[in-house]
Amino acid sequence: MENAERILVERGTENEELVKAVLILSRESDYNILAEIIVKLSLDITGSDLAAIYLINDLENNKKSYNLKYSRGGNTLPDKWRRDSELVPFIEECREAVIVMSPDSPGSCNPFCEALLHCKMNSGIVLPIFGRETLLGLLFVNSRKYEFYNRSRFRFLDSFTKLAGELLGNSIYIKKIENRLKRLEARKEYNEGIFTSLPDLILILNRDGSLYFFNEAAAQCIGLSESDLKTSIDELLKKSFSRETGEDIISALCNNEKSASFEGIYKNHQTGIDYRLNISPLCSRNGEREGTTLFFTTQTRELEK
Amino acid sequence: MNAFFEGLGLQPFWGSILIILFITSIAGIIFLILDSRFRKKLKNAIASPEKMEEFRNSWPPEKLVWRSRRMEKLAEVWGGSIVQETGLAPLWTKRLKANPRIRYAKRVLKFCPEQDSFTVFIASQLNSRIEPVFLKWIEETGEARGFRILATSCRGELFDGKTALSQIGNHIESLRELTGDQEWYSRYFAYQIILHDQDQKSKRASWDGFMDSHPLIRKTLAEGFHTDKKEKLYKQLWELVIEDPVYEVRRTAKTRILNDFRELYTPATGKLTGIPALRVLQLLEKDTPEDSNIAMKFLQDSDLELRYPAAIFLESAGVLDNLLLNASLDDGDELDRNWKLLQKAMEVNVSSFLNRIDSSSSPGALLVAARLLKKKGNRRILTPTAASIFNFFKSRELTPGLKDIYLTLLEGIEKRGDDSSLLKLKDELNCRRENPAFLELLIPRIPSRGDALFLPLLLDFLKTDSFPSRDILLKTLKKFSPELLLPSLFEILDSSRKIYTHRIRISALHLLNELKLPYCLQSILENLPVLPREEAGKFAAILNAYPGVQFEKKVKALLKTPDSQIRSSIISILPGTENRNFMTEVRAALKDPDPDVRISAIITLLEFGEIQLLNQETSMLRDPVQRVRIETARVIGKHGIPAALTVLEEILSDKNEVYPVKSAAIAGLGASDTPRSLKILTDLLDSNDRMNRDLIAALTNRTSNKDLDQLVKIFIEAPPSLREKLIIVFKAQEKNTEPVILNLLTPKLSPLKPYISKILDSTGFTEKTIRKLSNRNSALRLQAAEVLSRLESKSAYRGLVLAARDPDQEIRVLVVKALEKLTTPEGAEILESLKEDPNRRIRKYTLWAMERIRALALD
Repeated sequence: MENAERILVERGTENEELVKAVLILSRESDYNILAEIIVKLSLDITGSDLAAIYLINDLENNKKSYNLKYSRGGNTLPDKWRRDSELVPFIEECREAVIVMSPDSPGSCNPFCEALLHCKMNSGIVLPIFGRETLLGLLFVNSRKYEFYNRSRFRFLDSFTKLAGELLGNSIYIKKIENRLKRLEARKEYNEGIFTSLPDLILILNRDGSLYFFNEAAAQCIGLSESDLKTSIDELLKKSFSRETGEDIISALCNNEKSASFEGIYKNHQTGIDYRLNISPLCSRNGEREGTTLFFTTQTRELEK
Repeated sequence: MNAFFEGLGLQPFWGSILIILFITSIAGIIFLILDSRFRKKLKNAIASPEKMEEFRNSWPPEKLVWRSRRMEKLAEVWGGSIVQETGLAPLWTKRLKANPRIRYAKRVLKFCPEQDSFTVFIASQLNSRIEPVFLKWIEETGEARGFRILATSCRGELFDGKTALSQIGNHIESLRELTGDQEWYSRYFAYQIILHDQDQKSKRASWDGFMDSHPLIRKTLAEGFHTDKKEKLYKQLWELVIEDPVYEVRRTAKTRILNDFRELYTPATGKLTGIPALRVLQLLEKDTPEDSNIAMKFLQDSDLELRYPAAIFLESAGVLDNLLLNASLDDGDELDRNWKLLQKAMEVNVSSFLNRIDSSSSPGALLVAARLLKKKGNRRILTPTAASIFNFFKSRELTPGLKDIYLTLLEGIEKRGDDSSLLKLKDELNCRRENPAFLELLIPRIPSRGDALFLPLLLDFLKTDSFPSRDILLKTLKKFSPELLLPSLFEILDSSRKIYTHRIRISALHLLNELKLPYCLQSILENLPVLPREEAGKFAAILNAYPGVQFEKKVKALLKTPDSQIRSSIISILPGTENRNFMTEVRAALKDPDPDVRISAIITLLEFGEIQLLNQETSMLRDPVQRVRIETARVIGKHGIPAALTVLEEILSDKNEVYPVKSAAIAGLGASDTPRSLKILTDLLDSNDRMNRDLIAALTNRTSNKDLDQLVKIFIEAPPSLREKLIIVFKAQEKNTEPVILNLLTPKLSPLKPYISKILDSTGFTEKTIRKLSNRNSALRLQAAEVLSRLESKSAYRGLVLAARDPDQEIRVLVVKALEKLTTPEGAEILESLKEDPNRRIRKYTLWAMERIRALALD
């Protein structure tokens, strides 16, 4: 009974430390800061002398190596761990932590002695860091003392790296989403830039026939503004084109023609534009119709030339 | 005589001289006369072939040889042809061969060098006195011409080229020139000598000789040519082996390789295909391991022309025998490999190795033989194979590992067995008549062609009440002709119940129904009361095969009979026939005074989907006869619509309802396949402890994939108390539930792991998986070890540790991981021993585990 009680107390303490550590970690989402906190916490809570985290930079690359991200307690640590070392492939295969209780195990040369990152270190532990089932890196924690890593330290580090790994995984995932979002925004701006710089008039309609987009040339020529967005095409045509032309365009739109073209002269309050209008459907990647593009080529300028 | 000489005035001495002279003169005269006659005859003979024949008869060569000198003289005058035509020259040559004397040699060289100078040449090697004569002749004839004549007379005969070289080595230039002669025998003669010459020109000529158009020359060179360039010669010889079209040359080249170039003989068979490969295969040597490897490679070739010689060779070398006899069940991979190789041999009709099976009792060999004979090979060998296998199983059970041997043999006999093997099968069948495990395999494999042999025995089985494998027996009997079966079936059905038991009568009725004979329909329907109600559905489905009009007429008539048993049985089978023409009669039967008829009626109506009868259904739950109430509840549970299920749910919560009705309703819900019924059962299990036994039994029946999925979902969401109860259900479902439960072993559901392990431990899955660790198939062992390691229960780990000596290192790694989790003294001992494992990877894992255990032991 006493033993059971002792275990409960021990586990309680371990859990308390663990909760505290994870609480600190969960406040951060930056990958690099998380790596730094993992090292600091594992060193401080276990009372170790050296801790270092090696993370994979390029997860997609098959010839990946583990690069030193952050360390404490040692100056001359290897910059990277290659996969052809003895220790790394073992951990990748075993997917569990490796402990070295003393530099040389009795009777044989310890194949895991690489786990001790410095000659003054006499015991150590290497923990794999998994995030979303993918091995992200390795955490080395060393001590100058022999047999330093007992049950409670081992259990703490084991659980801590498992939780920390998931947080690191999430951080990578968030980073990826952010990058993708940035790329999408940049692409959007680029596309809009193209449309805006075109001298021809572009109107893009929604599936229901309301105005979704117009470029700068269209704004200037037809006199469109932000308030015209979502306005029905019928009203726009009434406002800007002759009744016949308007009816022809509406008819082409209503018949869902794949493409149609008209020629005519548009007269606004300042000048007349000899235009050629191309109507073409705007389709999504899977071929579904999402709207219509009206492309006005101004022939006046060409004729002037 | 002296007085006579004295009378003549001569002294006796001179008298004697005179007489001698006289006699000599006479003899001379006689000789001259004879010689004259001889010459005359010979002259005539030369002129006319007929006369020559006469001459030969009077002067055969054996007689004429005494006048050889005279003949020589005459030949000088009349031409050398006379020594040939008279047959004297061949006799000289013959005598020269038998006794190499100089005079014969001279005569031969003088008169018939074109034919027999080679004999002189050979004689010169035996008698040194002849050699100068021969060399002189060469000189006189001229080197080139002389050697050409010599080569012509040689005609491809073999001689000692080395000795010849010492004799005529001075003329080697002329001999080399001869290697370019158009006649093969000239070249052959020359090559026999120059291949021993060390001069570079001769060597070069010899290398060229390997491409000579005559096979004898290529063969001679392959046999006797020596050079310092061993690898080049080996390549040349190998070229002959694979490219030369003449077998004798290839054979010689191969023999030379094996005798003189064994260390270089590592044939690259990877590149060999087509004709070269075939040539290599024709020359394989039994005691050459490289050749066995070649044959083994080509035994697997898709080109049957190449596979055939390889198979023949391997059979003659005893390799195929060994493959058969050494096949072992302990090593599944090797057994499959041997079997596939032997199968390849059998595809080219090489199968004599199978004769060795009668001397084997190895299960591996028996399995391989059975597999092979199942498809091909001499069918007579099936009998000794059957004898060996049946004998093997005399003292053994059909364990999963051995069952395949028995089954494969039976399939072989069924498909290809001759009379003798069928007889063996019959004896075995008789021996195993009380052993269901064997009968299940034996009976379905009885071929219908063996009816005369097997039917009496099978009918005897049918008439034996204790016969264990009745269903399989009926299926097999159905294969035989009805004319052979009907007498026995009617004998059973028509006899008194004392003679044949109920079981036997049911079997007979089933079989009669299966035969689908329209003229037996009435007998079938009248015997329906023999059937238990639960068998009616299956039975009725077959009745659809009978003519509809005839069936309806007979059923209508029988429904009007006073016999309640017949009426009840007829109503029971109606849903199975899907014939709805009797609904009026069935509805009326709900009010029949006989409870069995009422039960049959409600079951039939529900099975027909008469859902408008909801009120009647539920009202029958209040039937005065308890048996009717129970059956109704069961039927509603099984087939009822949602509204009826609600009524049932209410009855289950009704405190006034009796236990048997509730129990029947639960059983009915257990038989249902609706998700709703499962929900009712599990809700009841959660809220009620009194009906646990019935509820668990009902849930145990729900083993369809759909039900198991729902049960697992309920299990995941369930509170701990219900989980404990569901564990009992899963345990009772045994192997049905195992695959679904195993799927729960995912990281996402790791909190359920203790429950899963508990279920799998109790269903015996863990033990079964542990047993798989001793399977001969290494992939299966690894799979079992992985499952055990995923279970992470103590029992799984303990089982896994048993595989510490497994030859597969992946399994040993899993063992080490299990030991790390177990941390028992026994585990520590095993880890200690694994530290010395020959595999470095295992040693690393062992150290890894030991260090972790060491850390976990420290406070």
